[in-house]
Amino acid sequence: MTRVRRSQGWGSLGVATVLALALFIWGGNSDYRLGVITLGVSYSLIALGMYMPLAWGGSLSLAYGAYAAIGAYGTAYVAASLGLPGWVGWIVGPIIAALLAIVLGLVTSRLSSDHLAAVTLLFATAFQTWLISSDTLGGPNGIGGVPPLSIFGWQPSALVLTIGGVIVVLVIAFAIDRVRRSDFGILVRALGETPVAVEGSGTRVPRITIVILAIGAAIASLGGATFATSVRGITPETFTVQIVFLVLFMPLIGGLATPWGAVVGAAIVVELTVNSSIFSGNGMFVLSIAVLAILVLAPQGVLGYIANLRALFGRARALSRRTP
Amino acid sequence: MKKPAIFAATAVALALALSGCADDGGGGRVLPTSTAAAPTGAPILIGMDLDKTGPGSSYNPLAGAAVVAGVDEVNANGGILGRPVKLIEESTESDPAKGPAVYQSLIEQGAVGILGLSTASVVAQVKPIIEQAKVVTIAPVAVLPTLTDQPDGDYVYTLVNPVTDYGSVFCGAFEKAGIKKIAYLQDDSPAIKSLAGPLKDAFGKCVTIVDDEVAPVASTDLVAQATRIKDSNPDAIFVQSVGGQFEALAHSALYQAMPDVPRFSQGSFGSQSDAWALATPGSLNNLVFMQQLDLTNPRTVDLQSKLTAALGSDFNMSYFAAQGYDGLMILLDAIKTAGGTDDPAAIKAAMDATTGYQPHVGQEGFRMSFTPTKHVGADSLCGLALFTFGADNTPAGKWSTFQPAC
Amino acid sequence: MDHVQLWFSVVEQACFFGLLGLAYMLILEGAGFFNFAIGAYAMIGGLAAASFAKSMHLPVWLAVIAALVLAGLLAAFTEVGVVRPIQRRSGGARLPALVAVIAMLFAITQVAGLLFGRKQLAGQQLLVIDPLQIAGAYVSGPMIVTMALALVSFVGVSVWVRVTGTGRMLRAVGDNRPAAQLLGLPTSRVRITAFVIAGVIAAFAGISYAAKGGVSWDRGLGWALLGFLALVIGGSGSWWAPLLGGLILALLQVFVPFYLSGQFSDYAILAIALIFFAFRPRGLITRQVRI
Repeated sequence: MTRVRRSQGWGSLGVATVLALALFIWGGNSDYRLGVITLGVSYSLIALGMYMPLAWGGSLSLAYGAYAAIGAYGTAYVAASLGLPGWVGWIVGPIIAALLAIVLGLVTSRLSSDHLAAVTLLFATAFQTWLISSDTLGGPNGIGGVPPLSIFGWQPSALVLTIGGVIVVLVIAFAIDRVRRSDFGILVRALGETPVAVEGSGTRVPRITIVILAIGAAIASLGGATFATSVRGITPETFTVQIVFLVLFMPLIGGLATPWGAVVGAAIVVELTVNSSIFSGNGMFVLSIAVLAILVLAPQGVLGYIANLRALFGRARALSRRTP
Repeated sequence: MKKPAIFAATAVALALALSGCADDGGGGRVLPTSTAAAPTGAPILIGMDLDKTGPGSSYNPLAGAAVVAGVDEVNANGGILGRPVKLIEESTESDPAKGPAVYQSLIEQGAVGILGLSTASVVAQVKPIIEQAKVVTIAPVAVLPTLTDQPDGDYVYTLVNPVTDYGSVFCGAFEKAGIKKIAYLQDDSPAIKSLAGPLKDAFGKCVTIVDDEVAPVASTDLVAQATRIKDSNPDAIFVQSVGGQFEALAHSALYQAMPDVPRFSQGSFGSQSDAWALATPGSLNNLVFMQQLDLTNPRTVDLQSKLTAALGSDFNMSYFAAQGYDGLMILLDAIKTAGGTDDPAAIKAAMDATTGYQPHVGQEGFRMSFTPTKHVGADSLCGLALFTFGADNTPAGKWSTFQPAC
Repeated sequence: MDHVQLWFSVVEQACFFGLLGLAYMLILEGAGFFNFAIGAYAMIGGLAAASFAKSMHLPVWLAVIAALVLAGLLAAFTEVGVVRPIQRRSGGARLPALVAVIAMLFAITQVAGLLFGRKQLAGQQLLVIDPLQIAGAYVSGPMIVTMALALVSFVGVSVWVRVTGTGRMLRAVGDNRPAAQLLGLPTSRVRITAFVIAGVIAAFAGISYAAKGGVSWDRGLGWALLGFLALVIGGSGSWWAPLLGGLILALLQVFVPFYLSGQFSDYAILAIALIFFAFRPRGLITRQVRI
């Protein structure tokens, strides 16, 4: 039984990989489409960062815009201002983001999710104010002129860079999925549902919550780093307080049952607000109504519905096999 | 299951109803003004990033409508190089994160030049993309002076006077009015912060800044700042902001605290007719403000009547409209000079050789030019003019004490 | 006390933040969670009143009533159309309702931008008078309206919860809904009443405060946070506690720019939130016994 459950993680990864390949057949020879995919990768990573605390820990942190900005500024500052290789920023940014998440989590660890939501929003606001006034980080202009990413002398092309980003998303989503199915994941999820029982069993609640908040912040900052590496610049208004609403909606749209929901949600958001022009600039409005509708009518999200349909189809097939 | 169904129906109906009625950026038709031969051949594609939502959507549609009217006018007069001009319109919704994808989309659809009618931060974020794609991009309404700086500034152009010019204009004004000590009040938006630093440096050469106040752009109250300014006892107060609610609050509070101290304003407030009513009645009386639109300039008046004919009688002339129009015309002139659209380097070279363009903003003697190292169009201070408000909180005309010279 | 004007400014802002906090508290008591859409009700109140008066040329009083009705309906919809079905399904868990009201806040913001435009509008003057001069400071019409509204609302709500049946049931329903249902209390009616009253108070606060410097579609989030902080700092031990929280926030908003610089406002608000959350999470005034 356990073995079967574990192997299910590989199935999702397989489907996602096939879809990712299809994505590159669609967009591989167009810079615009690669740009869209890159934005999707950034959003996916931020949404994946938000997914764990939200779906497992019952913690709503809303500082993910700031965490993404930290990742983006980390790599831009390291590469453009310090002249070090850009990938060094990929390590520094997530560490800083994780430390900040730990501080914010500790302050609100004894309080409800409402307090965490408020304090993280206030933090994100203050952080943006600080970015704009920081001379070291280019102030209101941000950091431009970031040299192309170079890994020990090798400069990947835009296509290779985008493929790399998609692979990062696949690996992280798969890893979170595996953790979800592990003993640790079951413990964390139980925590989100019945914190008292978990505390009774000897594990301290805040510590686990804070660990997943920190991991989430680190993953989200990778999303920012991807963006800044690909676009080769960053401004203080790129990852703002507002972006967090967009990112909160992604796991909800895709479905909270698995981390792949966050990726599906990111793809839908990018399609609605950037790639498709059917709503001509009203993508955000349509999205906000759609999310309310999903919350009320279809809480399992898109993936949940697909799973339901598959189950229904499976049952119907089983039924037809039985009846002669 | 009944209530969710009602919810869904309401939500869908609302969504459909509202998404249909929100297109506020479109323009009308221009009647052909001459009987030139209709342009033929492959269209010249001009990309336009036009904000319809987000912070930039309060002013960019004004410029966008003028661009649409300008394209119609050019096509009615035979096009460029005998070819029609076609606009490709996309929107970043003032969101820099979407900037790279949207600009790459414009570039891939074949845009040979781009008009960036969005916030300066969007243009700043896409500079690396523009540099790599080598497509001339003009940000006609942008006031951020560092936008055209290196790195990645080879293909980026702006039109209006740089902030060092603001310093010269106001220093002249202060000298003429006998002002020695000023108090400075600014908001903390990125656009204003990047303007305030150089401007304060310039002011340091002609006056003493006795008080320097920065307040959040979303402030709900500025009485504290006004009180501090009063305590510093300045000869005049200089307010610099993105306008709107912030500046209305500022003038209400300053007027209340010290009605007799002269006030100067730099930013968008002078053109935001909607925002004037936000200020306490009478509080704007004698406020001196600087702006680019001067309706004593006959070219501006011509453009106003042309655009009114094209866009209908509810069209309101603004410097955004004039700048959008000028941005398009400068770009098309460069393409004409380059003799075609195949060579991006030729278009850039033609842009850099632009001299003496007669813009529809500024005073009558104002001209715009570019060189390989000067990507800000304004040639002299007289792209700017000083105006005053009357007792009814609306502009009363040009300031009689001082005007920048050409 | 050299700067009387500053103190008037403190009182005006304290009243506004306090009113938003009061709206939060009504829903916290009646439904047991923080409704972040309060900020959006306040924004839509101010924006709708201004827009109705400006573009439809309604008289001011009619525009205000229409805006209050709109906000009340939105608040009722938040409860009936969004929160109730979600809470019923999730068994009253906190997070789904929190996510839902944040989505609601975002949706109202987007709808407002689309319906009323994305420009700032001047607020409606409910009391058109020349500013009174008191001790060398000016007291404007909007300031008087905001203070009067605060007085009426706080007195009104504290009387309502003591005198009326619905008001008395409010706390019982919020504390333990299943028990209240078992006892046969009309929980649905009590909750909707709380939502509507909160929505109307928030909208009225938004209308009166907008008269000071206008209102725009994107103000909802900032106001939502300030109202939440007013309640968290003040505590929920007394119906007057949000006013105390509002006062502390207002002191911060006025005197940090005065003694330090306006640049520090955002940092100061974050700092006070962190301090209270870490050391005094239940606020200044707490209930001693909660049955």
